[in-house]
Amino acid sequence: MAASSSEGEEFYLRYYVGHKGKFGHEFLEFEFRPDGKLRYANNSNYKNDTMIRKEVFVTPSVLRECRRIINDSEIMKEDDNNWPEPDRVGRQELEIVMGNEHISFTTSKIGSLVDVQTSKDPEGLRIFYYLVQQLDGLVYSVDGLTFLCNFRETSGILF
Amino acid sequence: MDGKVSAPTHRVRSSKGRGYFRGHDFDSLDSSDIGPQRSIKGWIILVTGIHEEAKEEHLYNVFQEFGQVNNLHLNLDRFTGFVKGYALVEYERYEEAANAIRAMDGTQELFHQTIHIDWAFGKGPASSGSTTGSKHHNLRSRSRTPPRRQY
Repeated sequence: MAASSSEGEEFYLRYYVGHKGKFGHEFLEFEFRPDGKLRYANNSNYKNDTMIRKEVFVTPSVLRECRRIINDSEIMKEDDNNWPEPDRVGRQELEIVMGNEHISFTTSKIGSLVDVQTSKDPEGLRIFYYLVQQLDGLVYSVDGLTFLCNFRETSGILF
Repeated sequence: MDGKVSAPTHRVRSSKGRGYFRGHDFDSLDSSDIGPQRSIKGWIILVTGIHEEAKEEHLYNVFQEFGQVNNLHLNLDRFTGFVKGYALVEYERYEEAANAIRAMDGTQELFHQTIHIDWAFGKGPASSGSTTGSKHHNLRSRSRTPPRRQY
């Protein structure tokens, strides 16, 4: 594989999914920054919910595992050329920097594997679909445990 | 999107995708605190290198030997259905977590493959040992992003 994850490599990851609708701008976004800061934001105006914003510093071990998950998926070899464009239903954004490679993909929301299989690039979109689930699983666990942890509400605009 | 950066760098980064890059402000934290970060209820360690057929109960029994395990997340790979390879274990007390790390990190006892254990949370930015936290981060010097597209 071209860019194997060596320790000194730059690493950055951001995932966003959201839409603007009846209940305002509803979205979920998380971000692993090179210094280990994991930022998470979840916003919905449904029933006047307010934005949830959390951040915590994760250790290099967590970043390493995150990189491993990304490398396993081989998403860095893919391209979003033939993926469905974001639309009124929603958008997803995935941005990853690993060393010399930078991807910045956008696509519409994916309801299920049916959307993947009927797309113009089922192989690539499937990789994206599952990777998002893996990352979401990691962040969910970290975040779920973080919730019990000190988190600071950032003042001002997070993203 | 052009991957050229204006800052002097010996590396040209390849760039793919329709998305845009948003300039990021990396806050610098003046934190002299180092070391692991405690959660409100306990101390969380990350175990990696876990065998894909590992059973949660087995893991729980092993780590319970070092102290009270409050929480254990053994995440699955949604694609294969097997274990993804990592677990987050939360201990009540610092010593318990530290002992688990000390005793099990780098060992092969569990699954005949090497596991690694480390703290999951830190108090401040990662030192520039393993991840790049350097000030001259290439991302900072990229050209300004186009305005967000309306959809």
